[in-house]
Amino acid sequence: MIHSKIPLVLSILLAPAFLHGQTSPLLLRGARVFTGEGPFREGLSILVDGGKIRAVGKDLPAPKGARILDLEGTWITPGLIDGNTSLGLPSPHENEESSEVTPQIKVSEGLDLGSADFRFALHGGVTTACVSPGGKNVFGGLDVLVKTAGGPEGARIFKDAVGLRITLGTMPGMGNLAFRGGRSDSMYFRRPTTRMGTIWEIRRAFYEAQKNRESFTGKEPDRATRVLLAALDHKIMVRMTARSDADLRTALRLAREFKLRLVLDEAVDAYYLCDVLAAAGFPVIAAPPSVPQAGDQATPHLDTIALLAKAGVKVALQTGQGLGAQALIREAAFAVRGGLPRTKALEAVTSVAAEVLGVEDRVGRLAKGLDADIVVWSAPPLRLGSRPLRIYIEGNLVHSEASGGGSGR
Amino acid sequence: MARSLTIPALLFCTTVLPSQDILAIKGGTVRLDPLTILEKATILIKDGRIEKIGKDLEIPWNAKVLDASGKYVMPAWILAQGSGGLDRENENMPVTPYLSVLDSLDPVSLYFETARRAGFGVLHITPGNNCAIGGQGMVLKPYGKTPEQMALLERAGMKISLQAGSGGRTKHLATILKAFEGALLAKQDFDRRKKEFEEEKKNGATTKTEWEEVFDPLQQPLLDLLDGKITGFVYIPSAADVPAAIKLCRKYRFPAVFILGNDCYKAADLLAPFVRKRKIPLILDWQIERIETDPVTGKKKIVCPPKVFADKGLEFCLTTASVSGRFRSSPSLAYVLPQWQIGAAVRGGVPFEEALAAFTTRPASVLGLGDRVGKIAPGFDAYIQVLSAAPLEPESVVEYLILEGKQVYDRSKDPRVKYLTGRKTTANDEGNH
Repeated sequence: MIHSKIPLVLSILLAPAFLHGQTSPLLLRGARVFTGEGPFREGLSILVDGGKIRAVGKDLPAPKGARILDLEGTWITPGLIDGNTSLGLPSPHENEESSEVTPQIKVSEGLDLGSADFRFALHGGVTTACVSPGGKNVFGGLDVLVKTAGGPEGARIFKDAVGLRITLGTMPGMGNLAFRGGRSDSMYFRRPTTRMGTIWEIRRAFYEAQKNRESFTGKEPDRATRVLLAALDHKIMVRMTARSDADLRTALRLAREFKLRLVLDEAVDAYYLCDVLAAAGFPVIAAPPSVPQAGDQATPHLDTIALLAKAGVKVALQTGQGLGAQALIREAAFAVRGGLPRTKALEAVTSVAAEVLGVEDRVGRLAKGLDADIVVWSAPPLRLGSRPLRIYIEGNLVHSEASGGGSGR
Repeated sequence: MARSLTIPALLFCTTVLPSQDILAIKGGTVRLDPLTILEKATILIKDGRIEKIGKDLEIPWNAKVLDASGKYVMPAWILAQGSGGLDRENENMPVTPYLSVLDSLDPVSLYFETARRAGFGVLHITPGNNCAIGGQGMVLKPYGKTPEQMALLERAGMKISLQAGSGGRTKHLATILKAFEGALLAKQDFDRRKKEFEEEKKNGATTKTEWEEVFDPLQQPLLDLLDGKITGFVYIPSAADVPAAIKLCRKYRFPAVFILGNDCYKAADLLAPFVRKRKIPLILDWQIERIETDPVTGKKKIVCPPKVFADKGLEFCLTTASVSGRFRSSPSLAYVLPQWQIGAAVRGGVPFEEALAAFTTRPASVLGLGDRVGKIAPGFDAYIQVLSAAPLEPESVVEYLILEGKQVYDRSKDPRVKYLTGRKTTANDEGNH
């Protein structure tokens, strides 16, 4: 009786190893490697074991039993990180519109991890994506960071509630106008309806959160208040979407007023404010540079990302929500077309993106101890004809051109 | 009086470089055609034509020299078909064979400016897809003050569209057949009456000496098509319309070019033997990476239609989205740039040379200009672009465009590029933004 249970116990113990699919270490060598910073380097090998990168260096010896993959003529980068998406959500701007202030709502609760969106992002080399609630609420809710493939679905969410989404500009007010002839006190008439109303909602929410903390009487504040306090206490990222020059300046004003540590989202008109943003030390998750239109009368410029990077602002990239952008790597290439140096462009979708999202200890670079999220490219990744040949997430081969390509790719 | 004459002359000089007899493009990496590259070569252009290409050419003392060292010189792109730069793409009647885009062209349209910036030298502009028989297209260069100045061919072909309106496919086809048969019947009737007149004249039954009637000019272009004098550019919106297109071409046997909508690759097996036998060129939709949803399982996959046709050994032209007209809401600027479209085709598995040909030599021969444009070769018209780097490098932009030996675009002086680059301190720098 007892003996019969041993195989079961064993299989449970061994399950994580099987899930990772790799029982033996893997050595990738021969490719030109971008580790997350600096240019591509030749002669670097990468040793992967147990879903993590164990070593990166010149002429690494293969441990006993390791599988060796010779990748001459290919290019390796860390898995790419998309700074803002709506992957796996039913609509590009997914918001709970019963209230305009929903800081406590987690987008992870509404996520369809089986969506084909993730597969297409993966095929473009994206291994980590930040999925964010929509911009139709003033406080949209909490972002989530997910891996685009590999492992059981629950395990793909690797950091929930990574940031709080706040949206400035006209979008939060757009859905709120009363129907034709409607009365301003009807249930169809929410506030805000203007840009200034939006800002007031932000102020009110933060004031009330602070008041609730101060008048705290032994009762646990509600969840929304706790999220707002975490944002005020710099415990979570505050992602503020601001597109136009005016909204960017408003964002900076709010940051001063509430001592917020902002991450600016989209920031289409940021070319006006390069030095100000650099001095404030606020990073930017820039709108996709190849998209010619932007909301709030912002004017997308060709070299915004290049100018920001030159001024010393930390810039990550996003494909955004319903913007019609290309794959992330091509948006990085479009930023290069606008004057961004290639290395900076690759950093923007790997190491810098990881820093901006606060997960630099897990992803974004090829370094010892980090997740083995690795993309092997057919050509220098920013070259327009380049495509991923093999993609690993946490050491698992999740895409290879021979098996997963198919369908004329 | 003298002053009023010099002002227009000066304006002319600022927009057009003084017409030079000899231009030398010096020292660039020159891609002569999809298969041939010459390093550090010089191109001599005389009176708008390419005279010589070589490594150590002697440059005449009176030549204007364009230094292209470190740059990439290649034939300007050719768009096999598009409907941009028009006042309106279509008339609101189903059959308008007598119309010509020549009368609708807007030379100052943003479309042509964008085309120059993207490196296009030759564009084939046709009516849109909303009319069954839309009218005649023209082949032009994206430069000039009037449609006549822009024209390479004022009458390039007849646009036929199988995109059904509210009456469905059957009614739409009936409209086309009725137009064709109507023109043929009218011609028969015309010929019969002419013959009768000749007989009456012979018999002395009429006092008239000359047959004065001319054939209905509204129908004449259709007859020209059916007589094989002009080419029919047949737009096939979806795979389901392929059989109708084949039937139409079988019955009327006019010279045809197929413009394929983005899911026509599904009918590639049906198309392949027919277009091979009849030598019908294909022009593909601008969507090169297409997300296909299975109607039953809902499963999605990415398809590259050019790769499907390439695998069948069929030759095709590629196209771009347009910033004006039909694709006004083009989501990403990348789809307007041939370089980025070629990149997409290459990622999808189309050989680079094949994708290059699809924007140069192949559209040139489809438009009947195969011995004039699409290549850099002696005797060819000088339609040349100078890129800052090889076309698939992300930094690569069009720095100069040379059309018929005349430099018509210089990125360093492009006002729109200037407006969209560089540091600004306030929104007010730019006025109303």
